[in-house]
Amino acid sequence: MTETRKNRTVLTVVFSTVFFLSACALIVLMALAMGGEKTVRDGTRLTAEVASGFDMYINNMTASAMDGVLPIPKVYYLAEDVTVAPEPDQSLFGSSTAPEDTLSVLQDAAGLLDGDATFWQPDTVLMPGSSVRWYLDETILVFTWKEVIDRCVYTFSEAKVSHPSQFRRYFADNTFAAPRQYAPSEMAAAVNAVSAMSGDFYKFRNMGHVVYQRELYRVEGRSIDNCFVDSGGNLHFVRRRELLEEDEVRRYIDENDILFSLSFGPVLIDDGEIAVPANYPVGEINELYARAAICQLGERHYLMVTVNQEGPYLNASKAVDVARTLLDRGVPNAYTLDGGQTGAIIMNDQLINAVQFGSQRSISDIIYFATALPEQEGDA
Amino acid sequence: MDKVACIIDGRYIYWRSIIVALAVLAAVLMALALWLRRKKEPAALFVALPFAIVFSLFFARLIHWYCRFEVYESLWSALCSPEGGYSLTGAFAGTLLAFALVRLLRLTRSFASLLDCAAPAAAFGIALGRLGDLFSAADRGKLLISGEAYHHLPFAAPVTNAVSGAVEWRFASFFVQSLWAGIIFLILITVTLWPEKKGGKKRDGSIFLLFMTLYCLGQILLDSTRYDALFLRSNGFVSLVQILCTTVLVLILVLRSVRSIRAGGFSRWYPAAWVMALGALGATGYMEYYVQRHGNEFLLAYSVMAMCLTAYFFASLAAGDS
Repeated sequence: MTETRKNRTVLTVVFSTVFFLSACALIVLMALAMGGEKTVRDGTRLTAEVASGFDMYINNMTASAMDGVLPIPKVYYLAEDVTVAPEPDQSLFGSSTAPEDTLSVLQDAAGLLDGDATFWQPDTVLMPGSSVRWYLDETILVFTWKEVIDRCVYTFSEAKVSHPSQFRRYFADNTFAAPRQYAPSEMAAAVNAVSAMSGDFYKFRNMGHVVYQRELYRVEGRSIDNCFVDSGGNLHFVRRRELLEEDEVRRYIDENDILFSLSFGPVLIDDGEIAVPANYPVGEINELYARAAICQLGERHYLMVTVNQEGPYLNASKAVDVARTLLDRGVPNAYTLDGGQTGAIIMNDQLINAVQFGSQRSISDIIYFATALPEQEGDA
Repeated sequence: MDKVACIIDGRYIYWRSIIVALAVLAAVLMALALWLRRKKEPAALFVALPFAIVFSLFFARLIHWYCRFEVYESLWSALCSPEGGYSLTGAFAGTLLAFALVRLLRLTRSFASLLDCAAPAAAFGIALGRLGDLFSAADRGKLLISGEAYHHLPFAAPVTNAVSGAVEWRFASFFVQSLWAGIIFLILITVTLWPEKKGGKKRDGSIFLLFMTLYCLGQILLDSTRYDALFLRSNGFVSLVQILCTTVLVLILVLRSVRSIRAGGFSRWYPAAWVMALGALGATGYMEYYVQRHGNEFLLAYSVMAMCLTAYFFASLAAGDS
């Protein structure tokens, strides 16, 4: 009996030691092998983009050198892999409660507009107590303002850019499916956006294709309409069930030179026609709700829109109401983005619209417009 | 983002990994010390340890893969690659499974005693391990702390924006979690080491239930503050940790009630305690909804949430005998 107990004790000690040492070895392995944060990012185009930026530098230095001798127009654009845009010049921001004050801005922007009419008009009736804000440099014109329409508050932010690369998309931490989420104004500040808008909040739902910086990250074409943006800054609408297979999506990206996508929808206006479906799986399109949309007015010419309740204007909108309003005002193409508390318009890092419930939600992505003008001319 | 401590043979060794490993080691030693103090079935915990670590890593990665599947190529690559994240929830699942295995192997007669020894150790380990986030960008608050007077622990911790490179001061969720786990450890170790009254005996599992109650109460609130919480694929509003903690709290309430009714019969106070406890959890849920909608009123929301969770704690004590 005593012998048995002794044997058991020895066995216990031996086994315990072995298992304890195994545990210690595992802990050491943990310290050595546990990796850092996993990211999904592609840096393969970096070399090409550096070369592309060098071309711009050479062109603009030559233009400066030949000033007065040979007219070489300066060209400004942002390389595709550049995430943080040049900081906008604070002295070029302006605001006024008198819409007619923008007449001089429009005159100064004539070259950039190149004959385009602006959605913003100096005779616009602003929401009482609000102001129109603008930014103008050689590469970008932005007007942001609020109007009361059907007792809803529409916040518009119109942008005309000199190069399509100034219309950009940004994922939190510049990473697909990054663990962290931020308020739209935080993301806009991080990338030096002149104006920005909440995106589709792609991380919140597993619907729609996701393309970011030319990379296809998610394929799901069954549920919702997608909006693809090509290298020319043009919006392409692809309706649900039109592109289902990964091969098809990849071919579509290649053939149309797609840079990024937005996946929320539905398409509000397509080529001057209202395109709102009767039913849609996201965005409660037939409910009265805060809305958000991105519109293309022309070449490199865009309009971001949110519809909110603010002050005494307490109506909300169905998706089709927003489509009608925009179409009546001549918007030819519009696509719904995530509304509700997500929908936010930012200018110069400031939240402009009255976001639902009064505070911005942390989300995964924004779209934004940036200046391409280098912070110092020497950088060009 | 994670700060590198050193490079060995081309492999990066991160500060966070070192601190987490040290925290696990400390927890292991603490659990062993408490287990050996019983002077019964000493081998059980020794055998459980390596299994607990392996299972914990497996479940921690599995849960992370489930919630963040888009960053992994496949489930297999998620389970095979050291690169990626882990969910602390998985460590709980892994440890419970390892203890269950030891019980099935009949190395111990008391599953609950194992849990009781592991509970203070877990709190100790979490308190240390969360400090690893000082060296990463994880587990910060959604809230940006603008007042420079608060730019220090325990209020705020710096984090470098991955894109702009700017330093942001955000609410130090991880540090508060560490402090809370430290407080839980002190409570549990005091209760564990407190001499039993003559004739009285601490009921097996009561330390573990107390740990789970306090830990879940803290996590429901603190996970709400995080900017990188994990969510179920089907629900992006309430975090996975909050859902699990609420479920655990309801189960604890049921368990304690059943145990006390079995031990001492039904008391007319119980229904009132149940209503109060469940009502407090419901109100906490409403405040979570409220703070998501009105993020700028976080102080009000989290204060009310803390009061509700405190109310749950006392109501659940009133509904149980252990």
